[in-house]
This record gives sequence, C-alpha cells and structure tokens, in this order.
Amino acid sequence: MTKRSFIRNLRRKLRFKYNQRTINGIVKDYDEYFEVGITQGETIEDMIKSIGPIEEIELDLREERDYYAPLKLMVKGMLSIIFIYFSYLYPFSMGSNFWIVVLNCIFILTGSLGIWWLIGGDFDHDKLKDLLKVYKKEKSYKTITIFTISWYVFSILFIITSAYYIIGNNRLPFGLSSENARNYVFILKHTFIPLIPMIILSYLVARKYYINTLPILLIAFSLLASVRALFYLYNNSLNVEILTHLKYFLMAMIPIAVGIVSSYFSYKWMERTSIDSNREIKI
Amino acid sequence: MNAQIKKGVLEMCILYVVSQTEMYGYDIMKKMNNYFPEVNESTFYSILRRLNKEGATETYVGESSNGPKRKYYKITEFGLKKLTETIDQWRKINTVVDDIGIHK
Repeated sequence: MTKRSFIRNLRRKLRFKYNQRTINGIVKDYDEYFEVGITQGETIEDMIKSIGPIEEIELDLREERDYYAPLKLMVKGMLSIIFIYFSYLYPFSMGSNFWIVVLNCIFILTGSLGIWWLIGGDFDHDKLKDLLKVYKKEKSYKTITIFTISWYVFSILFIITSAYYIIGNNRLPFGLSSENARNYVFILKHTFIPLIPMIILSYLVARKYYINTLPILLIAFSLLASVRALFYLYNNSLNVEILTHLKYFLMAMIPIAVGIVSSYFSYKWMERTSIDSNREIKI
Repeated sequence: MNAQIKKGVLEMCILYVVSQTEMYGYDIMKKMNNYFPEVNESTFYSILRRLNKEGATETYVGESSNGPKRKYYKITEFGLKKLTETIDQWRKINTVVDDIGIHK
C-alpha cells in the first residue's frame, strides 16, 4: 500500500460520519507522520503496520462521538431532502415586496443547508457555543438544545405550511400567476431536474478538494436559483418596462449576494474556530 | 492489558512526555512505541487529539531540525493540572494494590 492509498482509505472510512474539518485534521496528522518517517528512513509499509488498522482509527473516533449521532444524521438526511424540495420549489416571484425577497433568501439558505447536511457537512456544537459566547457551563447545553430544537420546529412548521399551500390550494403561494404554475410537470422540470446535477457537481468538486461543501453549495445554489429566476423573469415579463425589468433583475441578484456573503462568513467562521486547530498559534 | 486501564495509563504517559519537552507528532509516536510496542500508533494519535481537544495540550507550527514546518505539541496549564492529578491517582492506586497484596 502506498501513502496515498492509505490516506484515501482513511478518508473513505471516515467520510459521511464526521465533518470535513475533523477528517482533514486527522489526515493532516498522518500526512505529517509519513513525511517525517520518510526522512528518518522508515518504509511506508512499516509505518502503515505500526499505525495499525484503519478500523481502529474510526473506532477511537467513534468513542468521542455522541451516542445518538447516527440517528441525528438520519433525521438530518430526511429533513434535508425536504428542505431542498420545498425551498427550491418556491417560485422566485419577482413581484411585490422586500419581504418576498427576504423569504426567497431564507428558502435558498435552507435549501443549501439541506444539501450540505445531505452531503456530510455538519453543525459543530462547539462552534455554536462559541457563537453564543457560552462556555462549559451547564446553562450552555440548555441554550444549545433550545436553539437546535427551535431550528427544527421552525423548519417543520415551515414545511407544514408549504405543504398546505401546495396541496390545499393547488397552486404555489406568493402568486405565480402564470398558467404553468398549476402544472406540476413544469414545476418538476424546473426544479428537481436542474438540482440533481448541481448536487452531484458540488459534491464532486468538494470531494476532490477536500473542503467543506457549504460555501460551494451556497454559491452554486444561489447562482442556479438566480439564473432560474432570470429565466422565469424573461419568460413572463416581456411586457414590462425597462425600469421594472431592472428592479426585478436586481432583486434576482440578491439571492446570489446573500449566498456568497453568507458562505464567505460561514467559511471564515469555521476556519477560525476549527476544533482541530483549536489552539494553534502560528509562529 | 484491559482496554480502559490501558487508555488511562497511555493518556497519562503521553501527557507526561509532552510536559517534559515540546515535540511533534512523529517523535511522540516513536517514543511511546518504544515503551508500548504492542499498541497501535493510531491509539496514541487519537489520545493526543483528544487531549488537544479538551485543552490539556495546545499545538503550534514551528521549525524542525530537518527543514519543513511541523506541528508541535506543548502542555497547557490545564494539562499540567490534569497530569499532576492523574499521577496522584495513579500513585494512590499503586499503594492500594500493594496493600491488598498484589505484588508488582
């Protein structure tokens, strides 16, 4: 076995069970181990043998994980698929007001979060703790739990309301006035089908570069959503005058901006407070 | 060796080794491998990672004797405190084991 295949096997064993940050930290440690070993004249085979089986590495990690992690992961998977479906299903109605745009942004973010969870990213409770500036007190666990529960509750309420609108009223809320809105095939064609290659592409790119998928997904998702919005806009607003065109166009750009800005900040936040480089002081 | 005992003892030993000098991962592995040859080095790494995560050690990137920058581990105040407590417990346990009549 070569060093590269060892690392590849290691990543494969840990993928989807731990977040990218943790995995990268572990891989970096072993990478450095091999590097130093080579300069000391050890053979790769000897080193791999003394490291021991990869299964043990995973087992050791698993002990640090919480017991309910697999269950949580499953729930996240289910929720994420629902998020993606509903958030992407919403029309980017270029109409009335600021709040619809805000809602669109929320839908996009929720959808991206869904995709991210699905692909193996994670929310790190320690990061949430830092964010809420609570540290190692009993109270902090209550806060985190409340925060997480509210997130789920909000999402479920959101899904129920959406389902009610779509199924109950047989049309999409916030007024797609076009005839096509009632045609579910049209909806599927413009939502799921572009979404699938986008997910696959983002996943492949993130996997190749071993980075956290969230920033890429947010940007890709926002881009796609905006492109789709523009497409819809083009098809339906040909009679509208230029200024209104511009207004709608700018509104369509807001999801991109939100996507990029939030992905940038979330990425920076995760880098800065990464558990594995927890107390790293660069000399 | 019983797995639980082993983990506790290894943790104490690794923390002690780091408290004596700041070293990088590979050196720690090799030193521990000297004393515990039957233990997989991945175990040492995971203990080290856990110690770092809970704040008993901290890492920094520094120069090495043969060129490239390496990740060094050094013990923290919290780590020192934890180490002295653990060594105390270990000594107490040893005394009790002796008292019971089990010879080393």
